[in-house]
Amino acid sequence: MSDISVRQISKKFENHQAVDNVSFEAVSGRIFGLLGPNGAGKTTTIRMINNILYPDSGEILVKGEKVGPNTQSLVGYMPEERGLYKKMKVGEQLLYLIRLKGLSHKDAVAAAKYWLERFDAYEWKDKMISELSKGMSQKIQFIATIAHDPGILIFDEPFSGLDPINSELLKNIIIELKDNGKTIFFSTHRMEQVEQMCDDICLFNRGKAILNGELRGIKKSFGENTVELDFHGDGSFLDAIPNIRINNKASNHAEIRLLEGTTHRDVLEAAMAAVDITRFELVEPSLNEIFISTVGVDNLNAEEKAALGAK
Amino acid sequence: MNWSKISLIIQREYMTRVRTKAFIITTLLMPVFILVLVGIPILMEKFVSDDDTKRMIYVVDETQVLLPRLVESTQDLYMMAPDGLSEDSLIQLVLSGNINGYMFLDAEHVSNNDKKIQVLTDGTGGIRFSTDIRSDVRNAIYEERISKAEVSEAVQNIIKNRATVNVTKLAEDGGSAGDSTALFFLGYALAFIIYISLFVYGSIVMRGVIEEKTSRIVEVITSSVKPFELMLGKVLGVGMVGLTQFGVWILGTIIITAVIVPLITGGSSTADPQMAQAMEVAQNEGFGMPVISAKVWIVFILNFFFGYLLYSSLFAAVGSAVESETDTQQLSLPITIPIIIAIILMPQVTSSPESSLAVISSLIPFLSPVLMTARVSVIDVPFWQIGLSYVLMTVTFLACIVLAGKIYRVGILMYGKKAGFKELFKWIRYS
Repeated sequence: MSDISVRQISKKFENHQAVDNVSFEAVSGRIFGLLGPNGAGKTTTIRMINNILYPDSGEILVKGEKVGPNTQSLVGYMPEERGLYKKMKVGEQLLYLIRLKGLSHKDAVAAAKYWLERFDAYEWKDKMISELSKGMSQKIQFIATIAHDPGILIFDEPFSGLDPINSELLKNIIIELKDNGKTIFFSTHRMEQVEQMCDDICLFNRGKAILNGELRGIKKSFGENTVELDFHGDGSFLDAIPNIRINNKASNHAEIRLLEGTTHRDVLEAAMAAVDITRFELVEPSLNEIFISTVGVDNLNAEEKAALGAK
Repeated sequence: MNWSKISLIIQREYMTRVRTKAFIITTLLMPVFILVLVGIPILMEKFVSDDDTKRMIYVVDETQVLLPRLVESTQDLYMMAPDGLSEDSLIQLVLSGNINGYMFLDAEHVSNNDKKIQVLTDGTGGIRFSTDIRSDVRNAIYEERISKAEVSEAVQNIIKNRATVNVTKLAEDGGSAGDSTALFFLGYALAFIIYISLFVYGSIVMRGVIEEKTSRIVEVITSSVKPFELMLGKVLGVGMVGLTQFGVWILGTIIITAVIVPLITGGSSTADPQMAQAMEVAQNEGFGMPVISAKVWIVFILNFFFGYLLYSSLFAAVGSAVESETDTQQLSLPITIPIIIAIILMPQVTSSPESSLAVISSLIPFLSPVLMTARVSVIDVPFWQIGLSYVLMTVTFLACIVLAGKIYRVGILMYGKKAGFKELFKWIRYS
């Protein structure tokens, strides 16, 4: 069953087509990843799902109901730009935000207490947000998102601004929420996070959904046409091999996409002649690679190339 | 519209503001301030008129008629100088502090207007003392001249007695509601309070919106409620804060005029003739507290609220379009201009409250809050005019909040750039 159905939505701001005829489905109880470089239209799409912006055309259903004030309480949303009232106490603030989602005062008190205790934050309840550290207020923000126990959780760039430890913590919580039957929908511009967590993906570029479906299926359809190579020695030999694309090149590692006419054998031979190979593996392409080959390397602008680490 | 959510927003806006120290202090200090403003002139009058220092002025009166007239005006002050004292010895007496001053009066002072009278004093008693002497001497000479002018007693009386005119507004119960001068000041003061409050509360709303925008909480909130509901809740919540503050002020003023002023003036004013006089002086100088009718209070608080509603949503729209308070200048200009026009017209409207300028301008919705308050304090404005002003303000308010809502809805999610008027018009046209 689809918890979120996005059907042919478009949204235009002045002269800029932010979202262009996009459709996808986020299935109940799974983790859905919305990917794409900055400015691809992810946040605009998420805001439309949350009834903050309205599509110019097309429709969005949440749990089968057209998006509107009624569907807002079914969703917990954590925006990319986190925000809380700085001059308000943690407890009062949580109560306020939870009650805005439609819970009664009593239920809101219970929910706030439960989650504050769960995050070892109960003793902060009388502190102002401005007195908390960034990590602490992130936790409060997270509680505000999930405490009304919505079936659907939407996180816009949840990992941005988190240190590795908190990133890992958040990842575990998201997976735990999924195990509890929640539908998770999140956006990111960092492809490697998606590979580890998502069941389904939708790849955005310049307002268009260019790939859409189950992550594993998508990767399989691209075939095993990528070489992972670990080596000791001078990696410059790679530049001489024709018809390949090198992603993620480091001093002793390279991810090489084989293009037409070049086989993994050609790469192996060239490498054997030049360096000591410690690992050679033929794998499915990374999402980075999938994104680049779908968009076409010539269609990437400089910023996108930098963001994706493509050469 | 989800009113249960709007009421949550109203509660938050209200509670977070009335609990602040700044609110409590300004709310409680205002009545104290009024008390000081009203009480000090009265007390001053009291302490000035109880200056009963014994003073003495020697008068060398060659006419024999002026001195009795002086003594008639102020007893125990003017004394006939002992015979044969030279001016030098009079000076010595003043300098040694035995007397406070002296003057020479002769017949020429009565007959010749060009001859000036010199009163020399040691400077005690200040301006009030010298003013008293001046008016006593003037009166004495004036009366002497009239009596010498060989006109009939009837004419003399006509010349002496100026008609006394007291313009007093009738209160509803037929009693006196205070004289026109005091009412003028009252109208001025009340209208001015509204003028200031429109700015103060308008910018409270504006700052609230900017705070929500810059702290980015607005996106969290709008995932639960419509932007319009958030704006409406904020406008109403802050409005209640204003009503609370005005309520406390009005209550405080009523208590002060009814309880505390009689206390400082020493109970019933008739029991203390000196105090009664002081009150009268204060009243004449425009400091008296006229009786403010319930109608004036009601119109005052309603005009604050309607005016606030009218302007606050526009201030909210401005707040939504900027990144920080320093950027608001340009955009808030069109909102502040009408308030300023109102304050410029106010003196005219207050002094001739029934002129067509006053009637028309006080019906213009953006000017009504200030100008109608001024008029109502001074005269009995016909009910249809007051009623019409509320109808017009309500219609304008609805138009404003719809317009502001459209700007607000787009503005609060526009991060990182400050919008100009051009953008604002574009946002209004967005679906």
